[in-house]
Amino acid sequence: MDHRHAIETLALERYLLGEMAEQERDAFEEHFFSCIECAEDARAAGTMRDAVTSGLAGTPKQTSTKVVPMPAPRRRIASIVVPWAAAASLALVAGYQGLVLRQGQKQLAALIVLSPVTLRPASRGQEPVVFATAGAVLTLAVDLGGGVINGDVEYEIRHADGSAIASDRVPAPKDGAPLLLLVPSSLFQSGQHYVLLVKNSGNASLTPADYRFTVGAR
Amino acid sequence: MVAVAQSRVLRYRPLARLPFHEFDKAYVDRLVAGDPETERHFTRYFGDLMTLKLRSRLRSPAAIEDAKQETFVRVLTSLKRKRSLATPETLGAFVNSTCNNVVFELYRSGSRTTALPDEYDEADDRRPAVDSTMLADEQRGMVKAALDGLPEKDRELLRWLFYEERDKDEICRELNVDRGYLRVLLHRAKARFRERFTDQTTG
Repeated sequence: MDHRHAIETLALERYLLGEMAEQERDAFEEHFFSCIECAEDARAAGTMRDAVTSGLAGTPKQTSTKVVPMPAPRRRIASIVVPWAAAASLALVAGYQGLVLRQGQKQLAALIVLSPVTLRPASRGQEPVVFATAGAVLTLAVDLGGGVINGDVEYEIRHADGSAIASDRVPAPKDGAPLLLLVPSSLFQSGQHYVLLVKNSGNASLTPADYRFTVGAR
Repeated sequence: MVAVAQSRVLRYRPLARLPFHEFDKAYVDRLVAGDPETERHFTRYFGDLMTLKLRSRLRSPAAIEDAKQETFVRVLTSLKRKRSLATPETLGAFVNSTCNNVVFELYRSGSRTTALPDEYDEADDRRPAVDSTMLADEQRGMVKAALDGLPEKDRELLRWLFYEERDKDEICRELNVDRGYLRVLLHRAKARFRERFTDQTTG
């Protein structure tokens, strides 16, 4: 591939969009490793893509909740049609729910595999790096030390500067199991350090435990 | 008619404060001699290109980093052993073919072992050096400023393509354009990003 052909066919754009066959992709790579002009364009494009992938161009806008005003109820008109229509509607709804439920059960029957990253208290070992895939969830397995914990535990995920991004109070896992957190990866930014604080008022050895981790760019 | 042998002058706008260098005999000689500035330029320039190339071939950042380091070691060892490169302007092609070999060997060694699941999240215990972290932070700020300076439509398109990884045909339907025009839109967004990013790094 020569420079003119690469420019005229928008080769870099097709490369970024994954539209090239293997042979053409190899030829284009061979070209941009040797052509300074295309190499600079490719480096800029790579920087841009990596930055967008790690969330630097912002995350998708949240859909706002709309409040739909309900129409005022109409005056009831006595009719023999109404009970029959209501019965038909009920049958329709029941049938639909049955269908949805069966589909739902079918979905739940499928195996879901999670690959959690184990977090241990900050004082033990090196700070782990976890990788967040855009649009996915990050599965964190929080090692609570294996002891028996009664009641609830409180957790809070914070930025390194102390600002909180998520928190809740949840029942403690049983029998020394880790606390599993499925966190949307959109809450994290790659390259940033985070702290997870866990508290349980009934367990002095756990209170407060902090778990540090870094989110890496994938 | 006298044929004039023109030395290949390589001109480009510097990206991310990368100083201008020509891939000529002097450059290769400096690499062979272990000149720190030239080595820095070499690893950064080709490191970026290899990252772009390896993204589509290797899944984990750690594997990409390993392949890059192995390529650098092989190229530099080869240059130092031979004390030069017969045609210095083919340095880029040499790096690319060495990288191809490294990837091929990784595939072969990978096929002899049990593959990890695609979504396997392995904790990467390696940490970047302090100076590279500072540089990365500095560059990150400049990249963010360049992205922030883009029109919202460009940012949205880039988000759809690279953050949400939406189906391209779906994006085309939403924008009411064909695949050819989608490339044009990406080309324009990329050009605007590059212009702003270059201004950041040189200004």
